[in-house]
Amino acid sequence: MTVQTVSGFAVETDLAYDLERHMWVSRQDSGVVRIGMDPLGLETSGTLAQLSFRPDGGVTRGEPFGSLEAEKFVGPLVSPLSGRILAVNESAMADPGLVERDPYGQGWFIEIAPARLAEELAMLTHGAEAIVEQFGRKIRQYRIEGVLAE
Amino acid sequence: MTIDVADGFAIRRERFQNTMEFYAPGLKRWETSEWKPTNPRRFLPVSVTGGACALQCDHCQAKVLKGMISVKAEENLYELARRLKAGGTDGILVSGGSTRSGGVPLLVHLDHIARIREELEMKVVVHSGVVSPLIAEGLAKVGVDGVMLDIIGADETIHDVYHLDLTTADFERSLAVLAERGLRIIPHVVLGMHYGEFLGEHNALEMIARHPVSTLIIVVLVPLTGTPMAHIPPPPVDECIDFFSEARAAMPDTKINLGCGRPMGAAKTELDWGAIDHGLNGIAYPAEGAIAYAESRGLTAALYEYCCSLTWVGDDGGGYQTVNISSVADVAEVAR
Repeated sequence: MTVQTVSGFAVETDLAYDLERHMWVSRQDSGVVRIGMDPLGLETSGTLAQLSFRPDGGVTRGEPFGSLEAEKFVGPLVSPLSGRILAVNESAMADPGLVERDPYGQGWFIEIAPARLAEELAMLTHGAEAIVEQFGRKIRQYRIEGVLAE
Repeated sequence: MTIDVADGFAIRRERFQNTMEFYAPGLKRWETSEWKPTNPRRFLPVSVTGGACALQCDHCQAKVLKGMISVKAEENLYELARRLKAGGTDGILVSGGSTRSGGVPLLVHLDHIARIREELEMKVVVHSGVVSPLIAEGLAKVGVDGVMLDIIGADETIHDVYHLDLTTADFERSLAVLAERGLRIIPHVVLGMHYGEFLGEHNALEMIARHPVSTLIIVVLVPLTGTPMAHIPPPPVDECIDFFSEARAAMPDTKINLGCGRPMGAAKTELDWGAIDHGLNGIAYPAEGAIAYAESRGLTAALYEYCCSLTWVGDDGGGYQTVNISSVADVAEVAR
C-alpha cells in the first residue's frame, strides 16, 4: 500500500479512481473488485448517517449501486464499473462511521465480479503521478467552488 | 393546550393555498429519487469570519463554519459574490462566527451587500445573531432580502450553551429593532438546543409570535462531532412534532418551514411526515418519499432550488424573481 498526501488528503496511489464519483477501485487476488469512497468524497460528504446498497445483482458503470445520506451529501452512490454485485459491506451499513475511520480498509462499499474490466479501468485514473495530479486539481476546483473550505 | 394532528393540518388548509413547498438550496450536494435539483450552486453560504468564532458555543464550536465559503484575505464580499455569480449562484447567505456579544460582524460588509444586490442582482440574506439598533439601521439602509436569527427562549440556554452574558430580553429586543426598521425577519427556533432537552422553545415561540415575522424556521438539534454535545441524543421526534402543532396554532397566518438542520436517517423521515401532517408550509431537503407523502395527503408539491427562508420569491422559472405576495389576510381570504 502506497500512500501520498495531497493537500492534506492521504491518498492510496496503487488503486484506480473515478474522481468524478469519488470512488476507488481495488483488484483483489480472486479477480473480484472492491469499491469504496475516496477521501475527498468523504470530506465533502461530512458525517455519514445512513448507507444502503442494492441487493446482489447487476450494476452498470455510471448507475447507482446504493445511496448515502450524510451531513453534506444526500444522493446515489454511482458505480465506476459494470459487473455483478457479489457482496455488500454490512458492517459499513450498520456503522457508516466505519467508512470515515477506515475508507480504504474496513470501510469498503461493495465487491463485484467485473464485466468489462479492461475497458472500464482505462476510463479511470491510475498511476501515482496521475492520481496525485488529478486529486490536486479536484481539490483546487472544490476550493474555488466553495465545496471545500478554503 | 392539546392539539391533534387534524388541527394543524386543518389550519394550514384553511389559511394557506393547497401547496406544500420543498426547498433545496446549494448548501450541500443533495438529490433523492423524487427530486434532483438543476443548479446545486444557486444559493450558497458565506462566512465573513472564515472559520473563526469568538463564542465557541457548546453546540457548534465553529464546526458549522467549515461548510461555508470564506471571504479570502485578498478579496472582499462583493468580489467573492461576483465570483460565485459567475459560477451560477443567484443568492447568498452572509453568515459567520459570532462576536462575544452574540452578533455576526456584518457592519464592515454592509456597503458590499448593497452592491451585491444592486449590481449583481443577487439575493442576500444575513445571519445577524443578536441585533443592535446600529446594525439594524445599517441593514435597513443598504437593504437585505432577509435577516435570520436564532431566538432562544431560556436564559439558562443563553448562558450555558452559548456562553453569552445576555437574556431572552436581548433576543426579543432584536426582533423589535428589526421590525421597527421594516426588515424581513426570519427567526429560527432550534429544538433541543439545551443539551438535547426542550427548555426555552415554547417561550421563544411566544416571543416570535409577538412580532411581524416573514417566516418561522424550525430546526432540530444535530449533535456535531467534536463538540461537547457530540454524544447527546437529539430531542425526541414526538416532542418535536408536538412543537410543530403548537407553532402552527400559535402562528396560524405565518409561513412555518422545517429547515435544513435536523437529524438524518429514520428521524428525518418521521420529522418530515410530521411536518406535513401538522400543517407546516415547507420542508428543506425533504426525506426520500416526502414529496409523494405530501401529495398523498392532497397537497400539491412546489419545488424551489433556494433557501427555505426565501418564501416570498416566485416560482415562475426565474428562481429568484420576486413576486408580490398578498398579505396574509388576503391569502387567508383566497383560501376560504
